Amino acid sequence: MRLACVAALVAGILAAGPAMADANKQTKGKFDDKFRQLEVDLPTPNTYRTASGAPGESYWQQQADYQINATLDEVRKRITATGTITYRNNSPHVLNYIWLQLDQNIFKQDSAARRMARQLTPGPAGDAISIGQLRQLQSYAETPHGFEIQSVADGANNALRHSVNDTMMRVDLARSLAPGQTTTVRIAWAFNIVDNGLFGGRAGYEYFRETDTYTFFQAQWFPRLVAYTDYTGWQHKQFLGQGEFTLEFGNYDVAITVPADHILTATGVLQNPNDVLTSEQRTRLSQARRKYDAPMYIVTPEEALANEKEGATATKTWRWRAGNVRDFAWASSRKFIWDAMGVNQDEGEDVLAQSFFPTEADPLWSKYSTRAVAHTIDVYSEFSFPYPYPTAISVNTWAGGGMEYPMISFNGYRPVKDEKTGVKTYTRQARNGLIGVVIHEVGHNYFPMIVNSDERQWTWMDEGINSFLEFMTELRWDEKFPVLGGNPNSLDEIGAYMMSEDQVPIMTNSESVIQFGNNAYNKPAAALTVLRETVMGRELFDFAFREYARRWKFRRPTPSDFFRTMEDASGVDLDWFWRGWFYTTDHVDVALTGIREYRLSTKNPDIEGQIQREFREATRPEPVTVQENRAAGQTTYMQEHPDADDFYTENDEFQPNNKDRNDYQTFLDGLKEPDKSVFERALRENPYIYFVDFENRGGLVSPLPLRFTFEDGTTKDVMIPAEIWRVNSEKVSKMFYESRKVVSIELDARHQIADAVRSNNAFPQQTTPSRLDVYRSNQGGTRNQMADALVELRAKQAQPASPAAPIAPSN
Amino acid sequence: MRRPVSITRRLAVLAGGVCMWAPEAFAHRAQTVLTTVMWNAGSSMLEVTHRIHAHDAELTLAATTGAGAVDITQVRNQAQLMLYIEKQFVLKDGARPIALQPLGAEFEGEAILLYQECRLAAPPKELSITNGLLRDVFEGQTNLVNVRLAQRTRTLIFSGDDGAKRAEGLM
Repeated sequence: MRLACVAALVAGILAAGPAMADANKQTKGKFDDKFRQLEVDLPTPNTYRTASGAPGESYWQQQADYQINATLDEVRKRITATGTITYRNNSPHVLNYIWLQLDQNIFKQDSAARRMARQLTPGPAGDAISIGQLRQLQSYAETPHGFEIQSVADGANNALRHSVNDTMMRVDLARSLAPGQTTTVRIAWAFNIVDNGLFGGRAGYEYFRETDTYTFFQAQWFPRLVAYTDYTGWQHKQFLGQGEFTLEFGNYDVAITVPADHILTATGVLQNPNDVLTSEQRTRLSQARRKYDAPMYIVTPEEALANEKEGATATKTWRWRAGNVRDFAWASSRKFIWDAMGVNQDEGEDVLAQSFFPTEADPLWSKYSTRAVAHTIDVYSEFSFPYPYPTAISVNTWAGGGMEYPMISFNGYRPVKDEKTGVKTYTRQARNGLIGVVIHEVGHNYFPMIVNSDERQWTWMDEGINSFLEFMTELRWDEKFPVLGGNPNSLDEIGAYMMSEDQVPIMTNSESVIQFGNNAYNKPAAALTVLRETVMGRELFDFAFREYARRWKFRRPTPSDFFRTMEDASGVDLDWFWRGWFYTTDHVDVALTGIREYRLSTKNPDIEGQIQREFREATRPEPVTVQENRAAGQTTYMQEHPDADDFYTENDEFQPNNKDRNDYQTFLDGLKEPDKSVFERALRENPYIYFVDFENRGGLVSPLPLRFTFEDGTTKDVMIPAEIWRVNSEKVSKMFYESRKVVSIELDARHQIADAVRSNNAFPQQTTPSRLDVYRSNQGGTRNQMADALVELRAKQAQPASPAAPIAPSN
Repeated sequence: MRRPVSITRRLAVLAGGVCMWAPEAFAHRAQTVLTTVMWNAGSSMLEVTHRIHAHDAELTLAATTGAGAVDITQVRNQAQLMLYIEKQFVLKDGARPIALQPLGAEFEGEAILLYQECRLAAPPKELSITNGLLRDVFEGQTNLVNVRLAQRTRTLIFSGDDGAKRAEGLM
C-alpha cells in the first residue's frame, strides 16, 4: 500500500514541477538534485523486506493448493469443473474471508471492462461498426460468458456465503482463519469457452474454418486465490484487461477429461501416460528426453493430420501434477503435432522442451519453436538460476502474440498459405516473430512465474525485466536479431519514445500506463541494457541481477527490493539511475557543445612570443583590403617614409623585452620541488590539453562514453561516469590531457547510452541526414518500382467500383 | 421537429466483408503502428515514416483486399499498402489537407517502413492527424504518432473511438 502511494505521489509531482515528494525542498533557486537519494521515497524497510532488498526474517507469503476435476465439452465449447482449494494463512493476520479471482468474468456482457470499452472509429470514414463487433453481439445473444459459480462450500460441504464483485469473489469463512491455519473451500463451476478469434483475451478456442477443427487453450479457467501480501493486503484491483495477474504459489493436482483422440498438454507432469499415450508415443517421449541437439516428433505432422480427420465420442482423462507453481494452464486438440528435446543444465535437472502446434503452423514451428524453448532456458538460466521445473512448453494458439503461464506458453506466428497452390511459406519476419515470442513467453517462466512480482501493480517488473533478458537471449541466438523496431540495438530505438512529452514514468500503475509497450517493456529493457553495458559493467551487473533473481525465486518482490538488491550486491549507488529512468520522463540527450585545445605555456617569452605570433597569423589573416591594395600596386605611407620607423616598427607586440625575460627568470628561480620537476616534465612531454563542454539537454543524467580520434588515425575510448553531473546536471566541462593531437571527439560512438539526438554528439559537428534523406540516397538512379505499381493500381482503382464496395452511409 | 441525425443515419459497416481480428493476448508484442511526422528544415519537406510490423501488414492487406496469402516483400503489395495508407492516414494544416506523396518502402527487421513526404514553405501551424491504420482490421490496434516539427516531440495516441487529433505545443 505504501509503495503504491509513493509512486502515485511521485508521478503527480513530476507533472507539477521540480518540487520533491520528500521533506527536502529546494526553496531557493532551481537546483534539481538528480542524485537525491531514493530512501525517502522507497517504503521503509521492515522485517518482511530488508534495506538490502532481501526477504526479511519475517517474510511470509500465502499458499494455495488446488485439486481440480474438469471436463471439456468439445461440442458445446464448455468447461465444467469441481475443485478443492486448500489455503494456508502464513500471514500474521487473522482472515475472516478470502478473495478469489474470477477472470473469465471479464467476458461477461456487463463486465466493468466491457462497460468501459470505447467504440472504435476506424478513421476518415467516420462512425462504423465492425463485422467482428456484430459477431460478438450476436454471440452474446446465443451464449453467455463468464463463470457460472454453482456452489461454494467448506471442507465439510457446508455452503459458504459468497459475493461476486465483477472479476472477484469474496468467500466468507465459517470460522476466522488464524495465522498458520489452513482452510478448505470446495467450488463447482462452469463456463462457456470464448472464441479467441472473436473475443480476444489470453485463452479460449480457435476455430479452423477450412477443416472445421479446433484447438482449445485454457487459462484463467478456474477461481484463483487473490494474493494477500504484506504490502497491500488483498490485491483488490479488478481484472480490466491490461494489468495481468498477481498470484500465490501452490501445488496442483488436476484431472482433465477430453475427447479420446485429443493430445493434451499442461503445466506440470503427466501422471498417467499409460492411460492416454500410445506405446510408440511413450517410447518417442523417452528418447526425446535424451536428445539434446534437436527436437524429435512425439506426434508427427502426418499422424496429426490423420488424427484431426477423426472425431472421437469416447473420452480420456489426463492427470497432471505441478509443484510450487502460481497458476495452471492447458491446451488440448486432435490437431496437435508434438515435438520435444532434452535440455541439459550444468547446475540443475534436465528439462524437456516441447512444442504443440496444428499443421497450419508448420513448417515454421517444427523448425524453430522447440529449439527456441531450449535456447531460452540456456541463456535465462545463466542470468538467473537453473530452470527449476521439469518441462517448458510452447503451444501455437493463434496467429500472433503470446501469453505466458508456468511451464507452458501460448504463442503465435504461422506461415502463410497460397490460396491457389496451397504451398505454405514464411517470411523472415514471421520466423523472427516466432523465435522472439517463444523466447519472451518461455522467459516469463523466470519473471514472473518464479520471481513472482505483482503484475497487476507493476507491469515493468515482469515485462520490462523479461524484455531485457529476451533481447539478450535473441542476440545470443543471432547477432543481427532485430530485437526492437527492426534493430539489434534497442538503445537506438527507445530515444524516439523517451523524447515524447506524452508518456508517464515507468513507476506507474499498470492500468494507468500510456504507451504500454514502450513504457512497460521497451524502456525498462533499454534501461537495464544501459545499466549492464555502460553504467555498472557486466561483472557487477550480472552478479547483482543473479542475486536478485535468487533472493526472490519463488517469492514476491516489489520494485524497491529490486532497486535495493542491485545496489546492495554491486556496491554501486544507483539511486540517480532509478530516479532518472524509472521515476521521471526525462530522456538522454547530451550535447558536446565546445572543445578548446591548449598547449602548456613554457612562460619563456622568447618561445611564447613566437607561438603567439604564429597563432595571430593563423587566426587573423591579412585583411582583404590590404591584399587588394598590394595587388593594385599601392604602397603604404610607412613603406614610402622609412625615416618614420622606430622601435615598434621593427618589433611587434610579441617581441619579448628584458623585463619579460627577467620575469621569466624570477618565475624559474621561484619554483621549488616538487613543482619544479612537475613543470619541467610537463614541458618535456609537451601535451595537448583539451577542455570539453557538455550540455544535458534531455534531463536524464548519463555516463559520457567518449571516443578520441588522433592525428595519426588511432582512437581511444574513455568513459566518464554519470556522477560528473552531480553538482550541475545541466552543464559540465572536463579536461583531457593527451600526448597526441586530437582531430575529433565523438560522444556515444558505440550507441550505448540511448542518446536520442545524435546530431550534437560529435566534434567536428556531423550532420545527421533524415531517414527519408538516407532512403533517397540509397535509391540512387534505380527505377522506382513502387511508383510504377502505384500508377497501375490507381488506374485500376479509377475503374467503376466493384460490387464488394463498402456500404455507404446515408441519411 | 427534426429527428436526431444519429438515429436516422445508417451505420457504415467496415469495408464490406472484412472480418476484424480480435485483440490477441499481448503479453508480448502490442498491436501498434508507429508513425513519425518530422519537419526537415534542410529540404523544406514534411517527412512521414510509418513503421508497420510486416506480419500485420500482410494480414491487413489480406483482409482489406480480399486476397489470400499476401507477401509484403512484393513491390506491388507494398504499393497496395501505400494506397491503403493514403486512405487511412490524413494530415491537415487547419482545414487544408496536406497532400502527402509516396516516396517508397523498405524493410528493417520485422517491420516494413513506408515513406511519404510533402514539400511545404513552412512547417504546418495547425497540424491535425487522422490515423485509421490497421484499426479497421485489428480491434486492439493502438497507433502512435510522434510529431517533431522543431525542438519538442509530442506523441498522439489513436485507439478506441479516437478521430482526428491536433498536434499542439510543437513550436
